[in-house]
Amino acid sequence: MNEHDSGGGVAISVVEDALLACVQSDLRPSTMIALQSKLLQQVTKSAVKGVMLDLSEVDTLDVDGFSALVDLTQMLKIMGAKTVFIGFRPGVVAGLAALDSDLSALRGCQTIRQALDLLHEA
Amino acid sequence: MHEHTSQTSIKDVMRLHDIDEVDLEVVRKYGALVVPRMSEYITHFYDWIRELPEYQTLMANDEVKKRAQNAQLTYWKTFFAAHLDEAYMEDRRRLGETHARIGLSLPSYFAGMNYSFVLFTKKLYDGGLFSEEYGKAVAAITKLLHLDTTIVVETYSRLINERINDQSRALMEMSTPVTMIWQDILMLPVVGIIDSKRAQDIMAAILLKIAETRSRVFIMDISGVAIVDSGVANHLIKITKATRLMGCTSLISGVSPSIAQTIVHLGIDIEGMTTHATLRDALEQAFKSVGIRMKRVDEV
Repeated sequence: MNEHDSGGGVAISVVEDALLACVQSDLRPSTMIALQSKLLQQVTKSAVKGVMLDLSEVDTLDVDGFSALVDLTQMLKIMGAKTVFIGFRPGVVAGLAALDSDLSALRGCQTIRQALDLLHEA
Repeated sequence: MHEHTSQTSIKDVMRLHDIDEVDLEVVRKYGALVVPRMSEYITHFYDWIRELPEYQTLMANDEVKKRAQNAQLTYWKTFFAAHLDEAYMEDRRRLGETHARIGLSLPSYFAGMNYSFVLFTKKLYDGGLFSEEYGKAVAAITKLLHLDTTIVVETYSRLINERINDQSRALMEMSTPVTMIWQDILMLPVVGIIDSKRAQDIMAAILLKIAETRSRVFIMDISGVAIVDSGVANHLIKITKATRLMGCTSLISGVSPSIAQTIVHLGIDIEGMTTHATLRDALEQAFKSVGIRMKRVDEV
């Protein structure tokens, strides 16, 4: 089975009323597409209120990757799920800031506990 | 530029000072008169140098003095030998380095060179040349002396500049002390000027600290920042957004009336930034958002 079929190295599990997706490889376009379809399907299936995306294993993210994540957030929002990102790396964030990305488009935090708190905020 | 000038070849310097082989020949000829009397020079020179304010600190003991005298002897011998090549130049550069390292001031160096010049051309001169020849010799020596001085001073100022650069870099590194002042609360007092380099440093420091401590609130106190213009405000906004992505809210404290006025007058858009007049207010807000209530112990 190739990486595309397996979901591109993304593990998804359910925590309380949310999905937790751990990205275990760099976010290449192929990984991104797999992640997108997998998450959207899961949200329909399990009727969750939120999605937590763990990016702590991602050490590089370019502007395209970032805007794909913003798009994903939008899609999930339309499906009625909030998205919170966990464990953005300092280097990744500094790099994106230097490239003038609109960082406020995403919500981020460092732990699953904080993520759940963010999801349950009004 | 300094890197460039330090590469200057001896030919360039000679052209710059209008020195040719004829001048050097004259210097050598004059050297034949004074080099045998070098020990007299040293005696006179050290009589004079004793009056300098720096003498005590520089010539701490006899050993140092001995070494300095030897260096000086070699220096003047090569000067009057007048074989200008890369090694000659390298020698002068090393002299400049030494002066910069021991902290000999330029005025004292110039005075010393001037006094040496007087010694060699007046005191040690025994009248063994025709006056025309003597005039030529003095002119040539002056030129060569200026050439030497140029190389020494160039090296000297390059080293001093390097030292200043190093210091300001060190200062820059010391200037981003992100501290954890409470569980989940980070703080950084910013003093001085925020330029894009500094903003990057701050950003890198704070993001690392957030990843390390998983803090939820970051207070940046800008009461020590001299000027806030649209550039600085943009940097602050960027930092705020970046920390937000790491799950940490940024609070800006120490906004003075004049900063508030500037921000409004310049029409800077600070949406998404939480600002407070004092650190106290910001801290209160920070406690509130991490769910801590402070209470006096004598209150019931």
